[in-house]
Amino acid sequence: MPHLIDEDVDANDQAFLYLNLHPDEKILFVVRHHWAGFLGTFGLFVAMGIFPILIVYVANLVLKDQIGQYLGIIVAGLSGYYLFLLTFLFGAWIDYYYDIIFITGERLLNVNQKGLLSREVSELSMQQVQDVSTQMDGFLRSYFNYGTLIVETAGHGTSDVESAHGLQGYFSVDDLPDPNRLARVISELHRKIAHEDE
Amino acid sequence: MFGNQIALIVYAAFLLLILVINLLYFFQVFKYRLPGDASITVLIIHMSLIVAILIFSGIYLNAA
Repeated sequence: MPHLIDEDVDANDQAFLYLNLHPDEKILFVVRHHWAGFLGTFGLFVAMGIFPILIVYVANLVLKDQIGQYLGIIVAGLSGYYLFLLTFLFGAWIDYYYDIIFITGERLLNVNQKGLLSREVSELSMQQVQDVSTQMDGFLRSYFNYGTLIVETAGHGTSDVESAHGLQGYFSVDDLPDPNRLARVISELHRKIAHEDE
Repeated sequence: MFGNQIALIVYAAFLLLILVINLLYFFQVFKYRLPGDASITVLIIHMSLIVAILIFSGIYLNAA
């Protein structure tokens, strides 16, 4: 999964400036949400794209002679509808694709894209990690190996799914690729930092 | 005739709104994209589809 989990990224790149990394802090993993998590949204947009074509097709069958005089309105309506649909599909894709997890040697940074021009960056120090667990339920998640990563913390938490893990003390992120590997990495980093502190 | 003009103004305002929203999205992509990610590819596909819709609907509307 080369574009879902990137390793050993150049933290000095200008693109990472907004993360405000510490001088010696290295980005170990850049993790994006699994593409399968976007399939539901994409399927909905495809269905919405097919729907007006079906309506025009049926209208053409029923109103064969009269449809020609409304051609201008139909074309303008359809083009407007598809422009609207494409724009919001692109917005939904930005929402999905720009939700990124950065795992550094010291912290876990969760960048959460929230609609147009709004994003939230929450961070969790590896020292605060108490327990890491994963959740993969359903056929798609098991088949494509993606799921929810839940980090229990000593501080306040954040969650993608408020009803499930939105309680304080949980830092949970949905639709992450290979969550078991990420959980292991976070556990090892926490153990390493705890040993250094002793 | 007057109705047609109102329809045209509404349609132009709608196109302007779509244009503004897309410009904001482009700004977002160029500001927050990471090196080597798929942002530019998807942006080019998106732009191509938008331009294709505008061109083909323009051709149809001129013909109609």
